[in-house]
Amino acid sequence: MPNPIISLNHVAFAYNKQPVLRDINLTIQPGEIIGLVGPNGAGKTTLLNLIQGILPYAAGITVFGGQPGNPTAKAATGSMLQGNLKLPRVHVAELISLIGDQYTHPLPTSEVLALTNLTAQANQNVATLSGGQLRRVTFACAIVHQPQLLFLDEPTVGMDAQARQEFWDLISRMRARHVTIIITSHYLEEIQHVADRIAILRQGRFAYVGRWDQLQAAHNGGQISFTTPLPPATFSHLPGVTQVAATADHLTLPSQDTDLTVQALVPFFPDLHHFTATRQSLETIYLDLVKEDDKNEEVSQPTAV
Amino acid sequence: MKKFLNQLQFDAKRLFLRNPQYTFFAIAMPIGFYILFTKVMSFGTASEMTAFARSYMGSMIVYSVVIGALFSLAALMQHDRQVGLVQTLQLTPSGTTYYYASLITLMGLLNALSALAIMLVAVFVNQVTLSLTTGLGVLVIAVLGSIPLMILGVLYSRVQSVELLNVLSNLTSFPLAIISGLWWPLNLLPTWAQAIGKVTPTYLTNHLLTRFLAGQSLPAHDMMGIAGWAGGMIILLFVLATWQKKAKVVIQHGSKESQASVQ
Repeated sequence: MPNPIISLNHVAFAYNKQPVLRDINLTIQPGEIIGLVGPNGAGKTTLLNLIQGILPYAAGITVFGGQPGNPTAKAATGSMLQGNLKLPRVHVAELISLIGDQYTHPLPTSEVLALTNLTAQANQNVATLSGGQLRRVTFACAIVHQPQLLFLDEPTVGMDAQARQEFWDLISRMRARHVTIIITSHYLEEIQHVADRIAILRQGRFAYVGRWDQLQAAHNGGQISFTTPLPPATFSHLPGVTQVAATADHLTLPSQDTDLTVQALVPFFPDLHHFTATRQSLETIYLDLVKEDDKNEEVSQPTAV
Repeated sequence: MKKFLNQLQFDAKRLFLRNPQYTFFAIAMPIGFYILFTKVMSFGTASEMTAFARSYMGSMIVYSVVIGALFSLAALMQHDRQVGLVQTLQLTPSGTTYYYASLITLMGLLNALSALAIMLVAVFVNQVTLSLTTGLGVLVIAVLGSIPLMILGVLYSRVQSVELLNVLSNLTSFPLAIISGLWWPLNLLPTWAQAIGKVTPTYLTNHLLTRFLAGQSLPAHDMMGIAGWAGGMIILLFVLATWQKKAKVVIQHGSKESQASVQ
């Protein structure tokens, strides 16, 4: 197995004595795409900033075999920060060229402009661009030197649907070049499609690290709905059913295990109509996971770090 | 060198060539004041007016430096910090060395340019006689005297709020211009104000310029004063930068507490 690009070993960090990250462990291999998700304030940006060496060194972090911000890491890392480089009186091509100048072998500016679909805006003032265009300029600055490791912090905020699609296509092409990418985003659907693994951060800890499909396989929950002349109480004690919600024309049964519940419903099938069963979406799994962790947090407050 | 020149070109465009505000406030306005005070308002004999036109040229050069440092440079650097340009550069192999070197060089050049423009106005509008060596000497004094003000501009750029920076720049530049005798003679102010005015870096630079233009020796006290201000500002800048970096960050190493994990 090749040497990991990033290794996080019992990493902890606090702002002003307020713990933000607690006992973070993660190893990222070359070419992996990691989706880092979590609610606001979970510590995603702090973790990215630590790995990039923006924040002071915290023990347990190794990037390209050294401390964050080591020369090898700086030369091989691209970073799309949360904010946009909205500089007045600067043209798009000039900004990309300036960032490219900081590296040994940057791509030609025209090529980066074409890659990021910004050729038409090359001579436009950066400050006059739309939110989506600005995001693409920030992305162009992050990839101008063909990095081996790329950090994308909320990359598609402000982009319209088409721009988002183009952006993820570009990320897919970077995957083919074995670029290691760490993405944070609030758009779970997007990360789900592109990330090899997801790391769910909640209150400074990883609540889950692994593949989406494994996560979904571990959660058999879902929802079953149908219309029936039978009384709702008939279904309340079926296996897996957590609740029976009756509306004017149909019943909805949220279930912790849809397989078991459907099997138990078989005898009632002659009286069930318009039957549908849906698995729990990744978003609801994620939200449940976050809630689960909240409960754990309430039950046992961690000892002060 | 290529990196530095590219950065310099980048900064020259955004700070000066595409920024008419800089030209207006840091060059045209001091020239306007100079013409107003030396041409439109008339007092004293012809020889007194000629001497005044010569010395007031120095005052407006210093005033131009104040505006450039405390408004243009401070605002530009604050914005660069806020939108993430400084951080983006910090993450590259070159870091921010070229960025700061370029801004220092550019401001030096712009200060020299504004000094040159004011001198040309003095020569052509007020018939002030200036030799080439005197002109060059003025440029050198103006650029060296601008150093404490440039550092003050950098110091102000670390203020987080745009509004606060605006207030600070206004509350510093205009009282400083008045108390150090840039707008009207210092002896018109009360004695206590004169005592304060005489230790300001703007007064010290203006005093050097006035004496140089009058063909008098340059007092070491003034030069030491400017160097002292520059040193003090650098220390203050270092302290502020260090404090800002550490104020909100307390690192806690290697915690291995038990984890509520579903992993």
